[in-house]
Amino acid sequence: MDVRVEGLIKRYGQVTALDGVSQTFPAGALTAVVGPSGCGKTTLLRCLAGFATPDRGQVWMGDRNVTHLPPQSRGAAMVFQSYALWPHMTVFENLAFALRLRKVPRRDIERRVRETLELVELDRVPDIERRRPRQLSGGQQQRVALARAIVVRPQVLLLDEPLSNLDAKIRHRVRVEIRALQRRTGITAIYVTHDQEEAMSIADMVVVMEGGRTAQAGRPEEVYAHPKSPFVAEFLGSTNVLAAVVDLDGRILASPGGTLIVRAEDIQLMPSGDIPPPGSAWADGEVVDVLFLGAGYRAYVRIGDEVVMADHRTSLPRGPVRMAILREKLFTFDRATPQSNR
Amino acid sequence: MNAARPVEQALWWLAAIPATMVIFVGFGLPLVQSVVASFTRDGVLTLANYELVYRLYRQDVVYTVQVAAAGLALTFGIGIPLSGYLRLHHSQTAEFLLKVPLFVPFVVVGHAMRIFLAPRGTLLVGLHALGLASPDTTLAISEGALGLSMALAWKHLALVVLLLMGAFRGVSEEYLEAARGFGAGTFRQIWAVLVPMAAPSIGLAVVLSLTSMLASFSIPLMMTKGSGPQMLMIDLYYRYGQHGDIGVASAIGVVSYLLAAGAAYYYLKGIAR
Repeated sequence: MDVRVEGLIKRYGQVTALDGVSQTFPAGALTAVVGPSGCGKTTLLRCLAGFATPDRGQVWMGDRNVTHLPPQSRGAAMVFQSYALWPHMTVFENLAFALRLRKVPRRDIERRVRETLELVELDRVPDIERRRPRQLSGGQQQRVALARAIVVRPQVLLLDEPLSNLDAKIRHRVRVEIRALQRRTGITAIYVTHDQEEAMSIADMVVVMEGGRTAQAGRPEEVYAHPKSPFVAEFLGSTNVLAAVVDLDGRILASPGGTLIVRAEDIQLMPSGDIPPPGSAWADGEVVDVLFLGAGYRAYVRIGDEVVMADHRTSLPRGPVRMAILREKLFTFDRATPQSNR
Repeated sequence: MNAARPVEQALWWLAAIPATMVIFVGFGLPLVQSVVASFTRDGVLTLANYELVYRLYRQDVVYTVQVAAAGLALTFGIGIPLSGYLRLHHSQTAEFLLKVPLFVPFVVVGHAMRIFLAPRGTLLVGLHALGLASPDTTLAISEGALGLSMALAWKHLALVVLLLMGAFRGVSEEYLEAARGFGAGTFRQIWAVLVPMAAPSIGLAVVLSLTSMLASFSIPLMMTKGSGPQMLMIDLYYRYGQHGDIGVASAIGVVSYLLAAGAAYYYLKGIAR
């Protein structure tokens, strides 16, 4: 079942959280809604879940207009950022709660809880059904939250920053598990996160939000490779934004009228005076610092008044360096008309 | 830093002395004295005071517990759904109105309840207007345990709602939304989420209310007749104030203390689990 919002507006007092959002979330796909804090992504999710009522616009789930339907009548279930597992209930009771509300027979409740715990691979945890949330690790709690949402067999799964409380290692693992689960069940999933790397890695489609509006939507590779605005280009990846232009010789010159956006991984560093590859824009600078990132190094290169991040496989000594970027990897925007010229 | 620790600890102990002294002088010492007095008659250690309490006041102990229990049931039977409803459906006006009884003195509550329940009182005039009762009827509840429990509940409701509202507000909205998302209505959200999650605070409110109800004096004095069972504080007042019998009065006090301590024990056991 696809999900569609049309002209969604939501205001909290003087603050406009959603400013006319129209977007389709394809059926059976995992769509990540990504953006900085305050961009409206959580408000959008709450409007989809039915916890917030839009001031204007409509929410459609399949061919049903659900704008004014209560949460339980929408066929959607939500996984909360804090998991919101009821601490006084066991895992079984947490999962059975919704089924009891829906008057599912007791025997079916037991079966469905077990099946769902199996689906999220918690069935191997000893005595899992009788444990309380505080007796589980963060990753296990996250999976119980996921299980509680899918035990009602929703047609749409809404996830509000579900991994933000986990440490990096577990986050990466659970991310893969969520993706696998979504593919197995074929459920339409809408996943809100502020972590662009998480969004890109998990989603079939990415919706980038800015200031209560959709800045860009599309396949992750497409949005990453072809950002339509400086905001999107800057938001995705480790990005440098320079007030500069490229002259006819390919030299990068400081200019308050232009905006150059380049990602750290697209910058090639070479000894000062080396000839840059054909079709490159280039600039001379000075390495001021180098950080070890594990898989490689990140050099901080001063060019004029600005410091640029550049990734490099090996460490570099401090001092003069030449920086080259293939033209197709460079996003240029005019300040007056913020469209990519790439 | 380690060397400074004993000095720091000593300073903390020193700082705690005034507060400890206040508790000791204001509460501990009188308690010990009253326990000793309850076992003493004419300077001799004896159980005679308790024997008298058992003989004369055992019905009053039961009555006091009954009134306090009924008062608690009424207070929390109304207070929990009310606070839960206000937590889920915010209403500033209702919250303000509910705080009004906090500022009504106990004596006024007794008087008001007496007027409300008396022959030709507010309740009977209302019932008479509906053709349901004669205004001159003497209601059984007006001078009995139920009327007293109602008055105590009315007086304690505001404080209880205040305590419960605070406890319910401490329950994150996400827990409620999680329940609402599955279709839980107001009642289910209150009983399945708010009440269990705020159980320690509810327990504290129960103990505070019970202690206060067991110790109620002015409302029972105004509402009840001279005959029949009485609240223990009235017995205590007459035993000490009228008869000057500090031994039996102390024994009544110790019984009241044990009733309140029993409730506190169950509360502490509950939160330690």
